[in-house]
Amino acid sequence: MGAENLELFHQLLRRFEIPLLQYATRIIGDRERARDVVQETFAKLQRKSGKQLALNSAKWLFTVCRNRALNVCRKERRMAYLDDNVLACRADEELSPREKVEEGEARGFLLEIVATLPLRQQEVLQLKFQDGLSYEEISEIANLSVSNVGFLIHTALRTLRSCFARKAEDFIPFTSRKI
Amino acid sequence: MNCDDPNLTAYALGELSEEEKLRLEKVLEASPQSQHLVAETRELAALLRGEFAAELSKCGRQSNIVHRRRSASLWWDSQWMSIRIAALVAIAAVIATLVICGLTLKRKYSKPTLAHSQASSGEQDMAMELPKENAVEGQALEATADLNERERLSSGSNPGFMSAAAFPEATFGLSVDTSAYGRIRELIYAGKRPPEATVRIEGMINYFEYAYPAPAGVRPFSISTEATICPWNSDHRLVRIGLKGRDADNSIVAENVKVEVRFNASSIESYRLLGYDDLAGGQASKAASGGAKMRSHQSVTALYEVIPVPNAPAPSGAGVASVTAIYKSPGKEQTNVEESKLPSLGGKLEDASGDLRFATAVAEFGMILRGDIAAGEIGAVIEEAECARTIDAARAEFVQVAKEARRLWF
Repeated sequence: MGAENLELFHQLLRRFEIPLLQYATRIIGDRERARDVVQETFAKLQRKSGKQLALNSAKWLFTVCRNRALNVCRKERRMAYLDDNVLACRADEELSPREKVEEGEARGFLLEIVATLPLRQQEVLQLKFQDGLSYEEISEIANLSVSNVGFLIHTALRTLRSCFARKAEDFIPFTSRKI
Repeated sequence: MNCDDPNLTAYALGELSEEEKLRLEKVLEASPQSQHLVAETRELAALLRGEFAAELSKCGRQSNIVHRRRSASLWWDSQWMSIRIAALVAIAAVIATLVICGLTLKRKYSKPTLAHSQASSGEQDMAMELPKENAVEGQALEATADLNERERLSSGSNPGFMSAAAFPEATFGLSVDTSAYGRIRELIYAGKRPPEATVRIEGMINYFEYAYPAPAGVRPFSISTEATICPWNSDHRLVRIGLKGRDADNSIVAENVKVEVRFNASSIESYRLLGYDDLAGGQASKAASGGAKMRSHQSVTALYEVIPVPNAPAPSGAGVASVTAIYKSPGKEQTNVEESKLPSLGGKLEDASGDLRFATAVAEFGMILRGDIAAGEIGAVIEEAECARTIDAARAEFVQVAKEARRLWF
C-alpha cells in the first residue's frame, strides 16, 4: 500500500472501527465475534486499490461488515434477524458479567429503550443517528427500500417518543434550549 | 393531516427532496399539530445522536482492552509498540514543555504525533479520548499554581464563575489570537478532533467580523454592549462587549487602553469570561501590563456568561453592567475615558442581534468541542449559524465546519 493510501486507510480505521464494532455487535449479539468481523472487514479494505479506497467508504464498510455479520449468524445458527418477523433470539448467548456492566454503563436512557426494539429498527437507528448515514445509504447497506427505511425509523421514533413522554419527569439529561 | 406519517419524520430529519419538502411545507402550514410533531422529532433526534455519540466514546475505551489481548492481526501488532512509545514520549514532552514554559498551551501540543498515535489499534489512552486527557492534564499542571487563586475567586457552587459582589471589576485582553479557529477548522476537515487546548473560544469568536458602530465624532473607539438568554443554560445570560477602533489612516488610534467591566451586584450574582483558558478572566497578565494599543479598524469581542440574581428588582439607571475604557490618545498625555452601560440582561435569543446570535453559536460550538456542554445542542448551533450564512464567506464556512464536526462526532 502506498503512503497516501496508508494514510487514508488509517483515517478510515480511526473513523469507522468503533461504529462498525457497534453495528456488528448489534447484529451478532457477541462482541468477540463482532471484533473478528470488523477485523476481517478492514483486512478486506486493505486489499482494495487506492482508487477504490476513497469511494463510498462508509457504505462499503457497513455493507461488507453487515454481510459478514449475517454469515456468522447463519453459520452459528444465531437467529438474530434473518427474517423481519423473527424476534431477536440470542438466548444462547449469555452476556458475561463484565459485558453486562459495560452495557449498563454505556447506555443512556433512550438507548435502553432502543435495545428493546426489533433488531431491524435498532440497526437502522444506529446507522442514521450514530453513523450519520442517509436513508438512501442505509437502504443500500441493509438491503431495504428507502421507504422501508423511513418506515422503520418512523416507527422506532414513535415508540421512543411515547416512552420518553411517560418518563418525562425522571428525565433530565441535558439542559435543553427553551424556545 | 395525518400525524402518523413517515413522511413527516423524513421531513424532520432532512430526508425529503426539495420538491417533496416544499409540497409538505404547504400542508404543514395548516397543521400546528404536525409542526409540533416535527419539532419534537428533531429534538428527539438530537438527543439520540448525543446518546449514541456517548456510547461510541465509552465503547472506544472498553473495546481497546480486548484488542490488546487478541492482537490477531500482524498489522496491529507491528504498530503496537511504536505507538505506545510515541505516545509516552509525546506525553512526557508536553509535560516538560509546560513545566518549563508555564505558558498557555499552544501548538506544542504536537497534534501530528497525537494523531499518528491515534491510529486506532486502540490502546486505551490512544482512543479519541487521548487529546482531551492530555489537555486536561496539561492545563491542570499549568493551572495548579493558579488553582488556589481560582478557587478563592470563584463563587462557591459555580466553578469558574466569579462573584460580582466580591469582584465587581473584570477585564479582558484587547488583542486576541484568532489563529485557533483556523487550526480547529483544518483539524476537523482532516477528520481529527481538536484537543481541548486548541479550542480557544475567545479566538474563535474574534475570528469573525461584527458590525459594531463606528465611533462618534473624534472618539477613537466605540463600545457596544448587548445581552441575551444563554442557550445552553436558560437560567444564565450572555453579555457581549465589543470595542471597535475608528477608521483612521494612521495605525495608531489609542494607547494604554485598559478596559474595565463592572457587573452590578444587585442584578448579577456571578460571571465568567468565555475563553482565555477560563483563567480568572485573563485578568492577571493584561491588567498588569499597563494596557494595550487599539489600532484603527481593530475590534475585539468578549463574551461573558453571567448568572443573574434570582428575582432581582428591575435594573436602575445604572444598568446591570458598565464598560469603561481608560486610554490615552497617541502622542498626548491626557487620560480619557469612554463608557457604555448595559441597561438590562436581554431577552430571548431570537430577539438578539444577528451578530450576537452568531457569536453565541460560535461559542457554543467551541464548548461542545471541548465537551463542556452536551453534544446534543449541535443541531441548534448549526441552525443558528445558518441564519447568518449569507453575511460573509467566513460565516458560511463556519456552518460547513460545524456540520462536518457533527457528522464526525456528534
